[in-house]
Amino acid sequence: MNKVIYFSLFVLILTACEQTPKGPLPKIGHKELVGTDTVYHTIPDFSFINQEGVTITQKELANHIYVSDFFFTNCPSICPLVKKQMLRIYDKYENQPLVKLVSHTIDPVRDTPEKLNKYAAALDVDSDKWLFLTGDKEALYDIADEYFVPAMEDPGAPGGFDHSGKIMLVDKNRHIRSFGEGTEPEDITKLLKDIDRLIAEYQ
Amino acid sequence: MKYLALLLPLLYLAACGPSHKDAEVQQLYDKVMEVHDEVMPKMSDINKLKKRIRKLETDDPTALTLLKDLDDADEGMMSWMADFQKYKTLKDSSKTAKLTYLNSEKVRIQNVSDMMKQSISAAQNYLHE
Repeated sequence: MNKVIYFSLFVLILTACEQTPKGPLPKIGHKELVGTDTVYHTIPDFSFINQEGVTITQKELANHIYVSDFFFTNCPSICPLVKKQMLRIYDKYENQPLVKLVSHTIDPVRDTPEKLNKYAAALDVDSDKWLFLTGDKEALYDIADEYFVPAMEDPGAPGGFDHSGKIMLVDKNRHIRSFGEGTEPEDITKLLKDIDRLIAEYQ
Repeated sequence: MKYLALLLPLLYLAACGPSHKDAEVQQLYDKVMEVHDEVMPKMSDINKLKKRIRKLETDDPTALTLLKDLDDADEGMMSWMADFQKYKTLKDSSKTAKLTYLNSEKVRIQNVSDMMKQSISAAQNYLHE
């Protein structure tokens, strides 16, 4: 009898420590009521050019979930750390067609499609899986705000996205569902779990 | 939290950066990056200010000058970072060569920092008038 109690306690403790929460991931960011519907922060339409010189809009990502970050190839400090974490995400989901990675440059003057192509080639990543986007500078800065505003509601967040290495997780409906600091590997370990949870929602 | 954001890249560079192990070189490199790291987060401020001024749809020459100054400051930072990639190629150069290079880059990045701060505060003053 004692054995059963001990065993149950053991199981209880184990399940209590279970780290992965169940159920759908929350939607992050500003929401408003339209009629009786709650509308969540949504990434607006966009049009950029990828490392193959192909125009990429929200349509190309419509049936995917994706992680999004902002970088530039000449970035001296934070980007190399974030790149390492993006590569972790790439490696984990390389064979999961639902997941894509989208890196936007904030230096379109120098980061032309050709430059991004070389950058991607050096990383040896598939251009259909990991999109490097360039385009109009103002449009790139504007969309960055759209990605980061929900994360910036935290008053402790450092200002100026250029120096923040956040990686945002976006669902098929263009809602932000999670994010992590690309400079902190443990944060990205957590993000990987959230990606798994989001994948599960579509299965 | 802010300190951590600054510390992490430094840690990374210390561990994985070009092996410029000499303490004097490292110290000077850190000084250069310190100037860069302080103003880099202001790049999005520049973009926001440019947008606000353009929204005024004014042909006031002062506004146009401010826009140009903001543009120049932004481009100054971006081109400095592009040029500074050259430091990696000095990996096997002499200590003197590195120090000479870093000293001149320290002056350059300080100029960029001044340009950024001045153009930002001038634009803010203009918008608040």
